[in-house]
Amino acid sequence: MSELTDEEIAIRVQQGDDPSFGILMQRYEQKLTRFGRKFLSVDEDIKDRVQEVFIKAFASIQSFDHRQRFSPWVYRIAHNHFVDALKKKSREKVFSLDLDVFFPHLVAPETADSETHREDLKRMLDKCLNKLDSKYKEPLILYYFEDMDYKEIADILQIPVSTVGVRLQRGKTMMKRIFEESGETYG
Amino acid sequence: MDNNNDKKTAADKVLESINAGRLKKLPGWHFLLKTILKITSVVIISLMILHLVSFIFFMIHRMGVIYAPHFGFHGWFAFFGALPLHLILLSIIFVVFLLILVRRYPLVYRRPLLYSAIGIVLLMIIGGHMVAKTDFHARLLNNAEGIPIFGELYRRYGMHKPHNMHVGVVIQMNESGFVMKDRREDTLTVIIGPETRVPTGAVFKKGDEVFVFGSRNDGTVQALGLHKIGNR
Repeated sequence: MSELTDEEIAIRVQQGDDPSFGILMQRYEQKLTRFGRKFLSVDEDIKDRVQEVFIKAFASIQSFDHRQRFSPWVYRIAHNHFVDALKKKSREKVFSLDLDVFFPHLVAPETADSETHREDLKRMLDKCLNKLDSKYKEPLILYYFEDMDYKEIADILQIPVSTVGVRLQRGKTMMKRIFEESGETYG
Repeated sequence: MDNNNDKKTAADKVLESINAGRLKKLPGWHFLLKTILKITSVVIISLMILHLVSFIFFMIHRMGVIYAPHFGFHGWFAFFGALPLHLILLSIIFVVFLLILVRRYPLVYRRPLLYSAIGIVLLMIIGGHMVAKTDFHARLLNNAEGIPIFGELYRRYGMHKPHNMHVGVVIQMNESGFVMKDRREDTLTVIIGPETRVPTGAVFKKGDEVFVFGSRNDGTVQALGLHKIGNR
């Protein structure tokens, strides 16, 4: 069973093999916990949140289109659930329609950071996550910690691919400014 | 016992509930029904926009508003003044609703929303223009009494007459111009003077449907511009 892809397992669950959902949960529990912890910036109820994500994913499994990838689908459910959790917890305005999504941008090409630079960025991002706006924080987490490409992030956040590039770029600039203000060096 | 439960991972707890039959999958038809409902809403709103836009085109043709810009600055001024702004605003609101409904589809969210907005507006303008050319609205206008909701719209706009714009049929030619009967069956005497703008080569005769731009004083219109409607 372990050699099956996520999508193949999802099809089995759709066809009635409910316990196979356990394999999918094993594969994604750590990832979603990490994503939730970084996105929500809280520790205490991440386990419950992830559990709720799995419950929602299991209940909605028949809506999964097996021609698509499972990963963005389950992350999309997690994104929605975490955004709802943020809305309940804080008064922060989370992802209202903004002009980034409306107007076209020059496509910021997907750049391959060197491994060292990427690790540096991850370390810095970790330090200033709480100070970043959710709009910029989430693409940065998905790109640097979940190793997703622009298209996958676009599908999870349901925004144009070019907007992902713009938000990553702005997020990094914001991160740089936060570091400069705190007297630390960036990069 | 509680300690044991705390040690369980989220996946363990959910799997336990699945195996115990406490968690159920929503059936496929639930999602199918949701999709059908969404598509139906998109179709209904699209048809409403198409109806409104085509109605706007139909009315601005019928009231002659479309010809006003032929007569210079005053014509343009009259044109914008006579546009059914609240119907245009309503169409824009429906377009926004439509965008909200479709923005979760990959075809829409993968591109800037502006492209979808422009696409929808262009489709509605082209579609609306095509529908306006058929006799669809003319027939509804003639039967406005029997139509429950839209009837009022047709009754209201069917009788509407924009300022300084007159559409009717020439019933008699005379030395100073002609006499015409408008759609309200009012008889108007149209005076053509040196300041009247007439399309090059246009000849008016009895029976022509015409658009007259000019101020009305009792039953007389001092024409600033004339346009033969059959020429469009």
